[in-house]
Amino acid sequence: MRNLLDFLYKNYVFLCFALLQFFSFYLITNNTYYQRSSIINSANGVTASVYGKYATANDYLSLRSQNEALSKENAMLHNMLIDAHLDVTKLSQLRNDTLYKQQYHYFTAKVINNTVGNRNNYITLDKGSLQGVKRDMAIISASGIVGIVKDVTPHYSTAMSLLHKDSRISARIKKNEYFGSLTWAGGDYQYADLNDIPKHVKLAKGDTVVTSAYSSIFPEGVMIGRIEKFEIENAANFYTIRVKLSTDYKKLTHVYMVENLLKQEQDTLESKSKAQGNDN
Amino acid sequence: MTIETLKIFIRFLIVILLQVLLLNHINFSGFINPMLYTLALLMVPFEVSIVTGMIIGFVAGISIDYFMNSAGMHASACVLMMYLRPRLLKAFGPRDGYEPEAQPSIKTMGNIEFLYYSFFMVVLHHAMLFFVEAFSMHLFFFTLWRVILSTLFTVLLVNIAQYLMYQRKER
Repeated sequence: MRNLLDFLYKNYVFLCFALLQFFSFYLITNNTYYQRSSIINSANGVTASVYGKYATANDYLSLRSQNEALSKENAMLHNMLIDAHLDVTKLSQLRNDTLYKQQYHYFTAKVINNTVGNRNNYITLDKGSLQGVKRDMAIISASGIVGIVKDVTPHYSTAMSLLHKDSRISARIKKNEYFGSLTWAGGDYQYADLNDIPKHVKLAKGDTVVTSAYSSIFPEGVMIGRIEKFEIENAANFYTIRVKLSTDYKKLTHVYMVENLLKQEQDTLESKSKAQGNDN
Repeated sequence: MTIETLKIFIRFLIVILLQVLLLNHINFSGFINPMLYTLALLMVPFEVSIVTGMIIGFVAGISIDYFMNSAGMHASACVLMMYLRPRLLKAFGPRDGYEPEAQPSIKTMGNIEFLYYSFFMVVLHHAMLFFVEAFSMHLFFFTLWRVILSTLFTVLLVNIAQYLMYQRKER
């Protein structure tokens, strides 16, 4: 009887261990595959408000460089304003809404938490559904692409960074229009890999890589980075290209969220065509 | 519930906040973050039972996960660490017993013993954490390299923290 009790007691410890591990792994798999674990997520109230306070305090430290970047950008935008240009023609002053329907809606957000060192990195932003943030909106910074919104609460949202196992971004080489997909294999946060560029294409170090028009999330032509090195592994049909990202993920503070106002139309149309293709 | 329990609880709070607000932003050479919060788990008193230890580990781990969006990875690593802790304590702990409520530290165990003890505990924790995070054997050596470097960094910091804590108490 005593032996039996001892045996049960030993099993009881191991059982406890197994149960806790099982629960941990349940959380891990749930979060990895669906990014929907609503309980454990930094968009959650408590952690987000802690991070929010931390980010507010931290902002003061980078005020100078932020101001410089902003004033530079202001100057650039001023240059693009119609007021900055001398009117040389009286022919086309009309801005007709029926001819130019706005497709992308930009607004700013502040990064309140961000990682670069993990295999899967997330960014927490201080704008939520009350400010019009929706799932699958693009996030870009003044220097290039950043990520895609995944979860939204009323005041905060979390985004999957480009530095994530599941991120695949349709990218093209600016000078010759060949497109491929951009992934991140882990490791150094400054580099990503561009795949599916056929080997007959002529490349050079320093070629610009931008987003392609095939994505319904990112606007076309947003800067991604420059080709750092490229090679053809033996007998492969495609290049292995290493791209140095133009965005410094470690310095992210202010970003733009981009809503594609026509995304739904495009997605519905595409899924309709696919469905019809399957029928025939 | 003694004043000692309260002290340990406050230590957990401080260490977790320090971890998420300061240490997680170090990213030494790109990806090395010291996990100082393991110190609080290392210092759970000798007499705490293995099951209680695992539950403490799970709660501490899940709080870190809560901040880092890593959902369960730290919890899993901490539970493993606390599960094997009594064996390591048996190997490196004081042989001729200890006072009730005593905690593992350089004071109660000795410098070298505590170094060994903290090293093996942290290796367990980091190996579990980084391999679960990678979730594949792809990039095996990169992950291993990460485990080794982070372990050295964490052990160094944990032992420095110990020296600082006990130096202050002596004065």
